[in-house]
Parts: sequence; structure tokens; C-alpha cells
Amino acid sequence: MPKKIDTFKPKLNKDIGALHPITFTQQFLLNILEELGFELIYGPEIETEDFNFDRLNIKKTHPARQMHDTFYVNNESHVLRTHTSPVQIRGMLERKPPTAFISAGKVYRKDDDATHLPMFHQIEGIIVDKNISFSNLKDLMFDILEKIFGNDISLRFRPSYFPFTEPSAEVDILSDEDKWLEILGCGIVNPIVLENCKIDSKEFSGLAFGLGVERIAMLKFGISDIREFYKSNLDFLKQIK
Amino acid sequence: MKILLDHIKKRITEDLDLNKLSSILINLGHENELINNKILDLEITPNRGDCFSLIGILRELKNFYKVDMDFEIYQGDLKEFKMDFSNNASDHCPSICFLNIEVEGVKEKYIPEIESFFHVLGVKKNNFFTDISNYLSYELGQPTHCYDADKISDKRIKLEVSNKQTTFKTVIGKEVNLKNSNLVFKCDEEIINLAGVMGGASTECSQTTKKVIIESAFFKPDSIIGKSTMYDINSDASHKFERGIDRSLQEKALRRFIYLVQQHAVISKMEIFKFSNNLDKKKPIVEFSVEKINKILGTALRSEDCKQILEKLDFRVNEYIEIPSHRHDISSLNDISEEVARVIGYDNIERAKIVLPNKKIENTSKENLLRDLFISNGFYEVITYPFVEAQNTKSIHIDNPLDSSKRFLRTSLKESLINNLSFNERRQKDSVKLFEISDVYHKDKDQILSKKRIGFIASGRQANNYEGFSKKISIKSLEDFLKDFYKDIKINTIPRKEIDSKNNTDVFYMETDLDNFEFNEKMFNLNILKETKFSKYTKVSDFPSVTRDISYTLNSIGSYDQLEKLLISINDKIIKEVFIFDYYVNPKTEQIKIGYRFILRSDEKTLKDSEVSETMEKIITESLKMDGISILGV
Repeated sequence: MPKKIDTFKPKLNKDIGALHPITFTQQFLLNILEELGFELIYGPEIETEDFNFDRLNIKKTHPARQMHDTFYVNNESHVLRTHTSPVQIRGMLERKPPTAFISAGKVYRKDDDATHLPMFHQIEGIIVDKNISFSNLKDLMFDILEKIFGNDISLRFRPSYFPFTEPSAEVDILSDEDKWLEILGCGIVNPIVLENCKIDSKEFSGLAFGLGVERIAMLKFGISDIREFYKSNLDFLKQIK
Repeated sequence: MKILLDHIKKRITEDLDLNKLSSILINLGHENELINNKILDLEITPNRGDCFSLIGILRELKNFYKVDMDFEIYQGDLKEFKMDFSNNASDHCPSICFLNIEVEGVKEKYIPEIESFFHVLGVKKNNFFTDISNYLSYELGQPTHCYDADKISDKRIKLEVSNKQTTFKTVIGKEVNLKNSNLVFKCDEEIINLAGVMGGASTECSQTTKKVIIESAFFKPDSIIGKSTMYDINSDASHKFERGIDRSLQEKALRRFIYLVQQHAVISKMEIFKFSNNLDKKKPIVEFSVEKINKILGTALRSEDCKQILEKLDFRVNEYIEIPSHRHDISSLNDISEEVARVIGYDNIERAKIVLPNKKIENTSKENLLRDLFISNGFYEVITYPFVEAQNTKSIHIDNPLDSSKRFLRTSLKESLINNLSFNERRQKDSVKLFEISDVYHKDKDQILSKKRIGFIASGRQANNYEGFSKKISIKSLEDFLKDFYKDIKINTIPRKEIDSKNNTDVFYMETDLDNFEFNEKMFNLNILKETKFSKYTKVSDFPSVTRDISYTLNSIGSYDQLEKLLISINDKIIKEVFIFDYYVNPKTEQIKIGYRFILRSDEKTLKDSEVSETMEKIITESLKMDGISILGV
């Protein structure tokens, strides 16, 4: 049967818009984490030094607290949060263990070059319960990364340093070019941080991790220049569909 | 930090597999790179001040290799000399020694291990004493400072915290304006050394110096930190003191200094002066409990294994673990567990499942519903920096902005949306629809308050398809899709003169609190394709784009189907977008007139007319090969 010409309509290019690739990636990651049983919470981007540094065991003299690394605002009464970790402090103060939650959002560092931006996005997660161990941490991190990148990835777990976790680790993923790329930082919550959040560190232990959303988006989409994200270039944004 | 592989090889008896060495160090937490199989370039985390030296790296390797840790020192007696030294800052510097030394007949060539330090690592030679001092710092991690003894009257030195705002000239000739308070060495009220950072020009050694006073101190990291950045002086000493050096190495380092001098010169005089604050001598300890270590790590290690690992890292283990003087980073059993785990290898710790309270609540946030609403109406989401130039009474200012022209945090999304619109219009876009959702902060008296805002900007054609191509975005077209969700819509028109672009279509903008939107059934039913597929990105070209239209006349629907297939199959890198912008069916002649728009852009250059024509000719020739197709004007 030939189609009737009087009802003919060419295919309509719907021309719908798109999420920003960072929102797209963030939703993808949050879905994985919520599926695992984490509760999503939010906190402010303008933080006190107490939440952003002190309670996270980042000492007054730590280099990260200097004016060339951190944006101070309102006559140095506050900072633009340098990580999403202060939300974990807020979360722990508001909840009683056992608890498992994640936070996501914008963070700021006083950086602006080819590989660093003054604003980027993080997702952090924390579990506080009895008997949380490093081997639990390892299992969870592998599980999450396999959900993000697939089961056939090669991962490497190596020691690192963060003031708020001890032991601390960084996880690398083997790239297609056979290079190890740092993809995630994590560790056993430093008992000092638990105590700072009024949690008895003799009874409870915790694990925590942080993911850089831009880094994951770059790997998943194959974007090589981090600066593309915030140019608002439609030719860039239209590719995320 | 760079270490010479020959220096490591010399102290490890077995044949060294360099790749294995490199991977052992990575597993210990020291990322590294082998350069030409000669240099090991290590990235040391800031908590491990003890690893910024050859001896530090060798200590780390003791669990894996048999390592010769014997650095010969001068073992003989050292006469104590009278020095007019007052330590008025012993809180900052609990341990310090001075060596007064005179030499004769210095050899021209250094012993091989020192020569290679300068040659292979490319360190600049200076003068004999400074060279030995630099090598010693590399080897043991103890920075020392050499004063020309003739330039210090009566060996009168004092260490104090000075609040004097004065100029200080360093050994590298840099003039520094001292501000706030600084830990300094003084001789007769003249500052001769910015402690732990860099010495002064007035007492520096030269090629001919034969008599020196060598200072070997332990400064607490907190007393040094920030100074090198404040004065823009990058010194090996400050780098080490900031991260923490061995607090009991000062005399031993000077004895090693003497030993190294002895390899090159005849010492005609040497005497020592020692100061130490007894309060700092007590050794820190941590309880030793294998059960607790296993609980932290999730392992089943034996007590003997833990003990052996720790002892090879220089911990003394009994009922308690005695922490060696070079490990400032250890104070709890969690720290100790990390030590054990590093040596076992993180990769060798078994995974153990953890069960989370699985209480996922299906909650589609308001924010995401709004995103769907805008996207389904052709809007693209943008995310922009909050730093702006404009301020109002509620603006929060940034004390240390990156760009001094953007000193405020935005209180509205308008400025960035306008910038985003003009940016895209300058890139030949004639249909721009953007939205942003962001927290926006302002000040109210002493309080910092936040609001979640949504803003959009739109101008030009309604869509790049035949339904929207010839229609311009208008207040009505925007109200049409918003009215079900927003009662009191107030869309503004922004005057073109405020926008840096040549386009002339009306610009519409609106911004409101997210909470002003109504979330009803209709929003939940938006039919957005939810597929989390990451499409592969191709780099966006910065060259201008060109548009070309072709108007086809088709004799049947079959011809249309063929044409669509053909256009999909044309594989030309410069064609970036193709869409139908108009069509018309003539029922009498049964002909279809259909207009295609092609957007072309090169990734490498600005396209020439001839290149555009070549591509378009190709499309025309290919399509005319098909039956029942003609092209207007061809």
C-alpha cells in the first residue's frame, strides 16, 4: 500500500534540549549510590572554617587553608567550601549511627589553569556503624567503580593522605592508554573526626569516599579539556543527549 | 623529590629490578616515575616529611630488601665551644646544634656519590660548605645552614620571634620585606637568617671561606609553614621543615657533615655547641593491639607479623609502640594500622561485603522535574561560575578573588545568562535557549542566606525543525509551556544594547525562586527519554560555521525516504547539523517540497566558499542521481 500523500509529514527533529553533562553524570552517580542504600543530603556552599576545616582535622597551619588555595568571603568570616566534606560533618551531627549518606555539589578552590577550575563538583559518601573496616571500604569502592565503569576494569588501591581519614587510600583506574588515573579518594574515618561530631569512636567506626564528578564525566564522555564544561557552548552542550 | 637510583643501588645488595622497586614504592604510598633509569622522581604526601631524603626512602624499603642503613659519621670526641647563643624561641626550636669548623686544602673534586648528586640531579654547585650542606640535606633530610664565621662577631647569635618590619636580603640576593612576626636568627640586632627558610647575604659563605659555623636545627612545622609562600622563597629547607624533619637528628647530622668534610679536606679545628629543650625529649607511644589493628583493617594478622613490619619501619614494639623521632605523622592506632597495611599492600587486603540499610526512596526532586520541563521545551542547561563584577547591598564579597574585577558572589543568574547568550550568538547561533539552576547567596545583616534559583534566557527561532524554524520565541511561546506550572509569570525583555552580539531577535529572561513553581501531575508526565548513555564527545571547533539550504521537490513519499537515507549516509566531517526547516505538500500534483538546512564547520580552519561549495555539490549530485527528485535552482 503506497502511503497517502495528504497525510505525509517528514520526520520531526524534536529539538529537545539537554542536561548539562555534569548534571547528567552527577545523576548517574547518585542513582548508583542511592541504589546501594545511601541517603542524599545537601549543605551550604558558603561554610565556616569550623565545618570546612577544623572538625575535619585540617589544622590551622595546613597549606590548604591559606589565602592562595581557599576563597575567603565576607571579611574572612566564611569560606567557599573547598570540598563536600563539611556536609558529612553536618550529617553526622544530625544523625545517630548506624548511618549512610552522600552529599553532592559545587566546591571551590583558588585555582584556574588548564587542568584546574575554581569551581568543580564532588560527591562524597560516608557510612558510620559498628565494625566498619578497611576491607569493607575496599569492597564498596570496587563495587561502586565497577558500577560506574563496568566489570572489566583494572583498579589499583594505594595509600594516600587526607587529614580526615586514616588509613587513607586513592584508587586508580587503568586507562585505555595503559596509564593509571586517579579516580577516587577514600579511607577509614579518622576517629578524631568522629569525636568532633560527637560520635563515640570506641564504639563506632566509619568509612568515607569522595569522587570528582568532572573527572568521571571526562572519562565517560571522552572529554579531554576540563574547561569545556563551563563555557556554556551550545555546540558542546548539544552533544549530551 | 628526586633520588639517584645509584645511591639506592649502592645500599641494596641484591640486583635491583627497577620496575619492581617503583611499584613497591607506589604500594607504600609514594607515587613515582623512573627517569632514564637514573633518577627516581617521587611524589611524597605532605604528612611524610621523613621521606624527603635518601635515608627516608631507604627506611621505607627495609621491609622489602636488605638495606645498608649505615651512614658513617665522625665518632670521635667533640669539644664543646662557648657560644653566646640565646634561644628566645625554644617553643619553636626545641633542638639546635652549631658546629664551629675550620679547614685547609679542600680537594677540587668531590667523592663520586656527591659528584653524581650535582651532575645527575642538576644541582648547582656553590662553594664547598654549601655544597656539603645541600648534599647532606638530600641524604639525611636535615637542612643545615653555613655562616661565614668571620662575619659573625664574637659568635654572638640569638634566635627569636621578631615583629620588626624590615628588609632582609637573602643568600640568593632577593630582598624580602618582612611582615607580621617571623622566627629569625640575629647577630647584634641584625637579622642574619630567616629561620628554616633561607639565610641572609650578610653572613653567607664564599669560595674562599675556610672557617664556618654550621647550624643544625629542628624547627616545628607550625613555626615555618606559610613563610616561603608569603615571601615567595622556594627553599629545600622550608619544604622540609614545613613537613617535619627528624627531631633528634641535629647532632648526628653535624657528625655526618664532619665525616663528609674529612673526605675532602684537612680539618684544623672543630667544636660543637648544643641546645636542647628537655621537655621535648619524651617519646610518644601508642598502645599495641593486634586485635584492634585487625578490626580496623578487616584482616587476620598475627602479632609477630605486625611486630616485624613495624620494627622494620623503626618502631619499637612491646606492650606499647614507641614512635621513632622522624615520624611526626603517627599518633594513633589508626595511623599504625595504615603502616601495617602499606607494607602488606592495600591490593592484598581482602574485600569484605558491607550491607547498607537499603531504604531508597523514589524521590524525583523538584529540581530534576524542572530540568525535564525546560529540556523538553528545547532548553539547554548551563552551569556557570558565581563570581561577578556587579554588586548590590546584599552582595557577599570575596576577600581574595581570582580576578579582581569579579569580587562578588552573584545574587542573580542574569549576568551569566546574558554572557552565555551572547557567547553563543557570536558563534552563529540563531536559536538560543538556556537555563540554569543554582543556589544563590546574599547577606542580610550578619547572616548569610541562600536561595535556590532558576533562570532562563531565550532568543531567536523557536526550534531547529519545521515546526519552530519560522517562528520567533515570544513571551507567548514561553508562557505556553510555563503556564501550567507557574501562576504569576513575569517574563522580561532585555534590551539588545545590553548584549554583545549582532543578532537582533528579542531576548527574553526570567528568574525566580525554585519554590515558586508548582509541581503537579503534568510535570511528572513529561515524556523525557531517560537513558544514561554516555555518548562519545567530539571536540568542539572554534572556527565559524556556515549555513546552506537546499530545497527539494519530491515526486513521492518513497523519494523522501530515499533522500533521508542518502543524507544520513553522507559522511563528511564538516557537516555538523542537518534538519528540515520547512515542507509543503501539493495534493494536486502530489509533489512534496522540502527544505533542508545544513550547518557546516571545520575543526581545523575557517571554511572557504570553495570548500563549502564542494561539499554541497556532492550532496546535490548524489541526490539528483535518485529518481523523482529535483532541486530548485539547479
